[in-house]
Amino acid sequence: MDKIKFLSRSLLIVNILLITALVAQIIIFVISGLIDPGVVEDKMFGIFHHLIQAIQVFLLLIGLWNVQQGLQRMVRSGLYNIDTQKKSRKGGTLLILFGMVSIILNLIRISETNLSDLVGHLVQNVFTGLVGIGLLVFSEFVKNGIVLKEDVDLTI
Amino acid sequence: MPIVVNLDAMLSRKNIKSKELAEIIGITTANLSILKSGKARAIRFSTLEAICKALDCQPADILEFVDE
Repeated sequence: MDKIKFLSRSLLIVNILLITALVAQIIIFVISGLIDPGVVEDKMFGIFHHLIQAIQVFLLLIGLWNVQQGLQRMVRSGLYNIDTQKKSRKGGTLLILFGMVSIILNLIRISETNLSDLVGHLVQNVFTGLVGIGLLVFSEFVKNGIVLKEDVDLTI
Repeated sequence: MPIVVNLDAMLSRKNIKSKELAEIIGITTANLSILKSGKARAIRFSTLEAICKALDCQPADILEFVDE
């Protein structure tokens, strides 16, 4: 349980940093990009460049937030509970979505990126998607665990 | 469930209270209540043995199959 607590707290810190980064990105880049299109006119998506990046970060944030909440519930209510199962499934789905959207966007922006950066980004995105799939598997484990726990609890 | 637990009938026949039986067989009254109400998913042989010993009866006196 200590490791789960550690993971939950680490994710909380990551989420707080992501929120800060997201707010800063919206204030500094998104608004300035909309006000002064000259800053981003060389980008594929023009004035929406930073907005799209912000939406990507938001997607990642919501996914990680769900995972963190699921872990927190696990610490409070024990390993097998329905909230952790639901939050893990939601978090996993969002991370897969984030990975897929990022891969698509990276491929669309292929002309703006050099090859080594592109490969690096794609590997990161694939791994994020794999973490998402891992979370879906974890969610299934928890789901089966709930049934087994109920069976054990109701065996007299 | 087609398996019916006739523990209440046996308890009244032997004139033993639920709380007493729970203490004798070493389970909580909450668990005994789950067993009596038919909400239990399974019963351990050790529990069944303890109940039979405490009530001086056979498993068939407690458990009954009723085709639904």
